[in-house]
Amino acid sequence: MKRRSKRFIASKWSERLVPVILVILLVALLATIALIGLSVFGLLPAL
Amino acid sequence: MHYISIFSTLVAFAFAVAVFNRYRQRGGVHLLLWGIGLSLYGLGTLTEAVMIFTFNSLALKLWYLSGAMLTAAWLGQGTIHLLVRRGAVAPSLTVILAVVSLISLGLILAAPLTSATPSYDLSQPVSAQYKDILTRNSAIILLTILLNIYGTIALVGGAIYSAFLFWRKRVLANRLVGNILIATGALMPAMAGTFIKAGLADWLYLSEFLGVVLMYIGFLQATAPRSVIESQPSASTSTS
Repeated sequence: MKRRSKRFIASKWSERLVPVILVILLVALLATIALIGLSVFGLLPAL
Repeated sequence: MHYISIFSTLVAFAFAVAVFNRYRQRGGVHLLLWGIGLSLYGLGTLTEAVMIFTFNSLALKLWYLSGAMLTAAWLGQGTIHLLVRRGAVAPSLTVILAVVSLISLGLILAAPLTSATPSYDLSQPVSAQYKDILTRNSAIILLTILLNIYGTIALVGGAIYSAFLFWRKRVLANRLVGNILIATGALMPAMAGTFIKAGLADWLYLSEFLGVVLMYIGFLQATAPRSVIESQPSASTSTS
């Protein structure tokens, strides 16, 4: 049975957009963890 | 805004059924663990919905246990099973999580309620009142923090990592998009604690709803049957 490619070709806008989205998500994750961490050390009200 | 938790409950349980069905068809411990995590998500929003209409001490404890302590950790554990294939690491962590969850259950059931309980206000969100009612000892607070950090890093980090792999290899665009949606959705309830601290307790409901809807759409996107015949993916992928 013939297998077709699962690859895709990124459009120009997605070439820029996807990395930005991934970085934003990573920053948001780190910020969330940091806020929880600050709570641990009492710098923010506890959870 | 409170009533959104009713819709969140419906979506969460529908999502859980979809994941359990996929587990029944294809197997995979990660799907079983995600199903458990989503059931806990649904239990959290269900008890939240119950407390719109009446206060119940068991509902409050189950809300805290499922929503604040266990959901993120069990969802994240599913991702750990998917991504960490080395030795017995993932199964060992699952056993530890199960034990910690049982300890959490015991701690929460034993936690006394304060004298402020009779003054529970049905018109106000439970997230704005639970601290005055539920006595949480240091072990409960520590476990809540650790479980949330673990679960958030595993679930959101795992989805971001998977999306990055698909992007780098330029394969399976549907899973790239699906993982981005899952990461975004998972971050929303994770950030709810920040909303509460900022005095925006109502936002918890909205973030829970948007979170589960985005994750569900992401799951459907990532698992959608493709019209082309494909070989098995070579990379570990979130949501298979």
